[in-house]
Amino acid sequence: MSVPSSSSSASSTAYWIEWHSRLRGHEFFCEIDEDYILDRFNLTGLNLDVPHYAAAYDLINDCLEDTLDDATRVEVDRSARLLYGLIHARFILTQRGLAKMYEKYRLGHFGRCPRVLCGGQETLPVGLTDTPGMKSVKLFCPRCEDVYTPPARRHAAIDGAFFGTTFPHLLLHTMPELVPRKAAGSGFEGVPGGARGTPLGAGMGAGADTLSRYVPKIFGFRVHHASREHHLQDKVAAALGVQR
Amino acid sequence: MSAWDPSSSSSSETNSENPSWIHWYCNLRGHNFFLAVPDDFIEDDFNLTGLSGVVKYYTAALEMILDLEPSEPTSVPMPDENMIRADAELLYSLIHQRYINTKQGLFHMAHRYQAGEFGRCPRLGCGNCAVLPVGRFDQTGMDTMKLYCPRCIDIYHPPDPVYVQIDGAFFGSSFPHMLFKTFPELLPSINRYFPKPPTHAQVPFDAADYWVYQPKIFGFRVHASAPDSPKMQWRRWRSGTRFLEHPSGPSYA
Ligand SMILES: [Zn+2]
Ligand SMILES: [Zn+2]
Repeated sequence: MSVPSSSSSASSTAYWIEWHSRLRGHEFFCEIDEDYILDRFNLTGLNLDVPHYAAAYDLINDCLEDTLDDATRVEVDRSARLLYGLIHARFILTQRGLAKMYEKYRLGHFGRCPRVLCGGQETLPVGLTDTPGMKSVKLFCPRCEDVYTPPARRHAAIDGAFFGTTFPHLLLHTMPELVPRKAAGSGFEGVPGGARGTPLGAGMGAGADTLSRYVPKIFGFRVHHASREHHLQDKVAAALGVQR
Repeated sequence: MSAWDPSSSSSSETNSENPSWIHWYCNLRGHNFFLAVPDDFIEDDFNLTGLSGVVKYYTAALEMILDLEPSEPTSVPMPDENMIRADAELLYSLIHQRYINTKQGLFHMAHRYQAGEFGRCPRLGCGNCAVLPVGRFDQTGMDTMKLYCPRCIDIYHPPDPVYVQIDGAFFGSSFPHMLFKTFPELLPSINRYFPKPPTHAQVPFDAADYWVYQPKIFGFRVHASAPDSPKMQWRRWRSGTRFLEHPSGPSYA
């Protein structure tokens, strides 16, 4: 996993932030408010993580004096993207940032959960670590509460730390009305996931339990090893006191 | 025993200038999960029992699949070419579903599964476990193909859009479960009751990397009473699951 290194010159577009948001795979980013970047208080400590911090900061704000040699310029380009990503991770945890990301979520910019029984639930970007350069961005599904690899390969180059480990959970915490209903009997999982699927039968069985969980069957008969696992899961659910 | 050679069914006729209908069909875009069903399986009427009632232009469709000269028209007017082609596709999907559930078909598919040809589970806590194609129904026209992961025991939409048109009936609802019933050594070993590593040489998964995701806000778990607290983790629990959260070391993907 590495920071994308299309070292084409940043000066081809008028504004660096605009150029950045148009890069391949960058559609998960929201545009950080200018006020937020200009308030140095919000950037406390980032100078320790970003080489060429001052030049990178100037580049983001379109006021970098173009007197650097090519090698340094490439490094500053890279640093600017790292700095912007780290500011982004902070910004999306603010009220303003959460609102901007919610809007993107509402418009389906982050894609859908690949799990069939989630019925096309919209996902949110998440990092598995807050340290940059470790892991690419993943998708969190608020319905199954699990994390997935984004289907498009271009997102494998986007650093997960630019979204962070907290973001989707803070969004759902501040807007609990976004949390999908999960109690058994709500019937939400009866929503067919497939393009052409409608009836639930054959492979799925019936009842609330089978609607929320895929039940493997061979010619209509439950598979022994899977039943055993499901039985264990039921016990774990009971132990956790989860309403199913 | 030549039929048991996995390479024989997919490449025996590729050298010919005019590939058979079956090979042409299996080489179409998005059809790469299909097996080329051997002619002798299709020519055995016993294997096709009941299919003539499901497919309207059965005889013409069967002749197209087997590259036979069309027989004398029995119905007037003759159906047009496109209808026969659609029926041939429909008939092939049902024959394919039956064939991959036979010993020979399962053997070929197991071979391809071990090579990871059907992709990997998109769920991060499954540690790149190889998946198998599956339908939610055995009938055609109901739903598209899904992918089954034996680690999380769940089904997923294929990530690649070339598969969005593939009917799940090509594989049917029983196929992956038949495969693991027939080759239990291919089941991923995350379980206490599978204490020994699978004996097979090429096991496409690592036993230690199954985990259940734990959401945190600034490093803290959400209190169980909050509306956004996790409620679905039990569904990812497998016997032998040790963590309620992914390990933070470099060992997970
Ligand atoms: Zn989901
Ligand atoms: Zn899985």
